[in-house]
Amino acid sequence: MMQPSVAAVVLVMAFACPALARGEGQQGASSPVRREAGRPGSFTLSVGGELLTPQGLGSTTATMRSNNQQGTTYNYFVTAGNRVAAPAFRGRVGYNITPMLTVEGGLVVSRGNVQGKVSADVENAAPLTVAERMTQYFVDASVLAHLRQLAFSNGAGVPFLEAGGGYLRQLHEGNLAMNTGQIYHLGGGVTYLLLKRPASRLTGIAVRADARVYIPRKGYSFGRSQQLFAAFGGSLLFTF
Amino acid sequence: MKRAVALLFCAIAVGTPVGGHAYQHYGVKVDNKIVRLKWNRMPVQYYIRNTGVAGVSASQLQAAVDAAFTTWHDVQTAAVSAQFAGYTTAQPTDDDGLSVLGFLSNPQEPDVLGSTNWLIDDTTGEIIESDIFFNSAPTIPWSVASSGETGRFDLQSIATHEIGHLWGLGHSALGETEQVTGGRRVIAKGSVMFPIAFSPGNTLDRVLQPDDVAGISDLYPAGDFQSETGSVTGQVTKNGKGVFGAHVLAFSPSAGTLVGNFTQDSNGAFTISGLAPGPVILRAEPVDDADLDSFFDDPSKVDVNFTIAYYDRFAIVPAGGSTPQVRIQVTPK
Repeated sequence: MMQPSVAAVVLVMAFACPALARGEGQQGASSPVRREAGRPGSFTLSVGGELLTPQGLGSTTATMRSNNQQGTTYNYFVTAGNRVAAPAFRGRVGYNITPMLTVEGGLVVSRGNVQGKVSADVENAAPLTVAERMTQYFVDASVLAHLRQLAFSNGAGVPFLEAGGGYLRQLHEGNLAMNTGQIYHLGGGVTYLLLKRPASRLTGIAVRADARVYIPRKGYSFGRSQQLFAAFGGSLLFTF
Repeated sequence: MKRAVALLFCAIAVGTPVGGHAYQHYGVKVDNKIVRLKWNRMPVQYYIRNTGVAGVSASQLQAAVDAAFTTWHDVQTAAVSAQFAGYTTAQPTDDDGLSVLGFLSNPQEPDVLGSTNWLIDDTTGEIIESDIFFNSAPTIPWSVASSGETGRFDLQSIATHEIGHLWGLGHSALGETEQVTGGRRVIAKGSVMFPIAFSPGNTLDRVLQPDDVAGISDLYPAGDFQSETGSVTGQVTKNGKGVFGAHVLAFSPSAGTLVGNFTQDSNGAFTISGLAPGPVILRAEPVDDADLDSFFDDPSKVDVNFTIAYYDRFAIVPAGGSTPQVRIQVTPK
């Protein structure tokens, strides 16, 4: 139920209101301003959502030791885990170091089902899938490189690349148990300026659409073999 | 008032039906409450009977027993220790206040490799004495070779199992067996405390398994065991009624560990402790890989007429606590 709404937010944020867009290069050059979106020393605040793609959590086999001196493993049953696609809330605060570089820190919160498929039971019990609901928090920092040379729509749209990493906290159903780890990300997207108000404290409003690849380290997995996953997101960006 | 209680058995591999409880612990009734059998004072002083058998001297027996005690002592989440007090001519069956381990011939039970008994204070459940005998019947060849010896039972492995009983642990049902002429043969084991031994020459039971570690740590917790592990509690039911004697195992996909226990009453209630925090998969099965009297005092009450069933959710084990009650529903065969 949640996923379509998040997807819709992404689309709206990315492509709506092009008529409101103001090219940063256009206005910045023509009017004397005290503040300017993207200027060094300015801050950004963004809120939005992401859709986390499914993530493989690896597989583990319940084993015993066979009756031989080598103790070769005797498979009891096999389990394979995955997290299904999940919506996430995202909030970030940024600081523009230069027109090209922004550092950001933020929080991503998501809730989604983790499934465990049980199969190959040694006594032929029927396969089944068990599940739980897991809440994840990513607290991370990123560096964004704005590719202004690739700007479009008179400078209103600016692509960017980003990389970062941070802390991963996963709470299992009922908050009864927790895993922690690190999570790194690489990605990129587009910031599209909707409104520019150089004379006010809020100097600009933009939308951002982006895609990330998350690379978790530690955190919850079946055997230590969790896989990377992607996220597609959109947010509303305020510049101060 | 003191009295001696039950004998426990560890049996051999080829064709051997034998007896005792799971990683579960032994208990005695004190003032209408079940109290766990355990030692209250450490280190436990033990003696070695000054008699060897073909291929194993008394001093070699002592070395093997010492290594087995060390295996249990090395469990960081359990506080157990023992100290060799000397050699003795006392029998490992005498109620004399001495804990004696030694060879004793028991040709009437050629399938029994070893056995443990205790003297307990039945007002407190404290173990006062525990003797272990290793069967020196001519049909049972022993070995203390470091890598095992073809055709001979590894004394250290069997001692590790029996010393588990000495501490107060019962039998575990984490094992698979097959029927062979005259009894059962182990296919695989997930616990040193499984009641049937590996085949001669095999030394794998010198190494404890997660089920053994959970059992000893639950009985003699040390360090952060109680705050860093948790338990699953629940019930196994069939047609709405509790199932007595179901074997329930918990598998942690993240830790890769298997720990088991039994439903212990007519309500089908069970508890599995010493689990790594996080989600576990639960599986309930009838006991079918060893004789029921290996696990239960009264096998006639044990229900084995049901099919294997998994709990249909992950059970989330909290650190330092227990899961909400889970209910595993099984169906008749």
